[in-house]
Amino acid sequence: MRLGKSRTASGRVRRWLWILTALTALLLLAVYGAPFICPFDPQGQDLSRSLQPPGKEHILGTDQYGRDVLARVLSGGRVSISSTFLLVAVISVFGSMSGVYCGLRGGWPDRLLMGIAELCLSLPGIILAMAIAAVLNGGVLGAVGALALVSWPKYARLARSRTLALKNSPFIYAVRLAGDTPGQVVRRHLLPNILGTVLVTAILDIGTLLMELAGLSFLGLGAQPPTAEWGSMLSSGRSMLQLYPWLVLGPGLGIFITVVLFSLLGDAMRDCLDVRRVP
Amino acid sequence: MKPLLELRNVTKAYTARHRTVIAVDEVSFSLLPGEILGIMGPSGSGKSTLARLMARLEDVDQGEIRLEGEAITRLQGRALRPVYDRLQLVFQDHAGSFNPRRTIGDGVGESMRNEGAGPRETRERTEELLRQCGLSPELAERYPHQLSGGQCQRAAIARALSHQPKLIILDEATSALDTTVQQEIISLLARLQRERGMAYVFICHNPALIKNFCQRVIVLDKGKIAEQGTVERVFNQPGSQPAKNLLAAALSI
Repeated sequence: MRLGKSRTASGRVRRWLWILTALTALLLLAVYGAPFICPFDPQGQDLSRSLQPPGKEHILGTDQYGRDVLARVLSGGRVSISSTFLLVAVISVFGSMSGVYCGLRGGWPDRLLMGIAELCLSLPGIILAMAIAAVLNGGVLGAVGALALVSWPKYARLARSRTLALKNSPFIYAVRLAGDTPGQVVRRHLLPNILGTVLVTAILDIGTLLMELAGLSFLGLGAQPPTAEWGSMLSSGRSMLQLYPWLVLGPGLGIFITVVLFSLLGDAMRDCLDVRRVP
Repeated sequence: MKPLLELRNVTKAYTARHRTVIAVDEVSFSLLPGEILGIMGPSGSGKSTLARLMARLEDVDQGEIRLEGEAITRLQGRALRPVYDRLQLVFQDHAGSFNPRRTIGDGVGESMRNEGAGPRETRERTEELLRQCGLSPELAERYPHQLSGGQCQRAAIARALSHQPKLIILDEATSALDTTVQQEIISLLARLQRERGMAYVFICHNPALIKNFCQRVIVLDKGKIAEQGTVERVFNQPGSQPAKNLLAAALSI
């Protein structure tokens, strides 16, 4: 029996990727379109409405200053997700470009950059990030900078090892024999075979780094009040967790959903980018 | 007759972990137009390194390589394009010699695009080359992993022919294929050689294939030429110990 296109393995993988992409788009739409979804000002205080439980008016309740928790979760999500995207973009672009350069160039630049990368990897990442964030006096950009300094080596090593494996592979020799210049070899053949791996790693890292950024904010080293951010919301709500659980439920759910969604999306994208799945 | 390819004292060494290994040691030989030269030797004797040096995929440490009298030893980048119009190489790793993310047609047509051919001309010439190599033109749309070893190797030969080369270096091009497919590829190479008058450097560790396909043979051992001569002479009266060992080992299997 001949299977229909959607029932083949690659069809299933593609459909699953579309579903996850749609869910991610929904999440981003909710977070970035927050002012249209939730009419409340995430920073507008009204002490007469403080600590109201979830209800019809305030779906996720209010915090100790009477601010709408849903509005703050959505607004905090914008800060958390934007800063994570910025962080992942910085480390994946800088890390992979330096890795490709080292792999192609070799010699002392390779030894120097990889030495620095080894040094960064040998230090406990989150502790170093905390120290750097503390020196940078907190703030979202400080936390992004701190985590960027400790996270880029992973991409540099990944891109370098892929470059080293590919640059002496028969197909790269073959395109050189076809008359490709070194620039064409890198642009047409090397990068497309590296970027898939980097892209998947970056998407999978979104979840991890979102938690690390939230961790720094939780410790007071990231976003500063009154800016809403999931980590800092968890931090300010933890002392009232037993009496007013909705204060941490919203940001907790936000982190959980985002981390799971991006992890699944990364996995699905890896399966979809695997060219051997083409039947 | 003027030699097509000449190697003079070509040497290549690799250094890893403070240890230097001489992969190719003062190798000199020449190849005439239309000639089929076999290079055989045990694993690690420097056959593939020599192939890459001849194709200028790696730089030689010492010595000189001449193609039709022109020194190509120090050419780099775009200056190598005219060299690759005359000299091509076919690899052992049939699927691995095509970009896994691109179709076979893309791989075969790469040089045509580099020469400035449009998409239609590239497609037509690619399909014609595939046909000449006994492949259906429809295979141009397939990815390397979707082709069998023999089909991939035929496509690799088609890619080499896209340049109208005068010399093709076949680096263990039939070694990873089963015997029947090996025979088909050898027949294809023989036909193309008759039609186009190309020369081959046929690198192989199987003496039987060298004996049946080549006119002259070089025996490599530890990077040096242990012996060279006509196939009849080397196979009937081997004069060096490495050649005797190779032939004895082949006979004992």
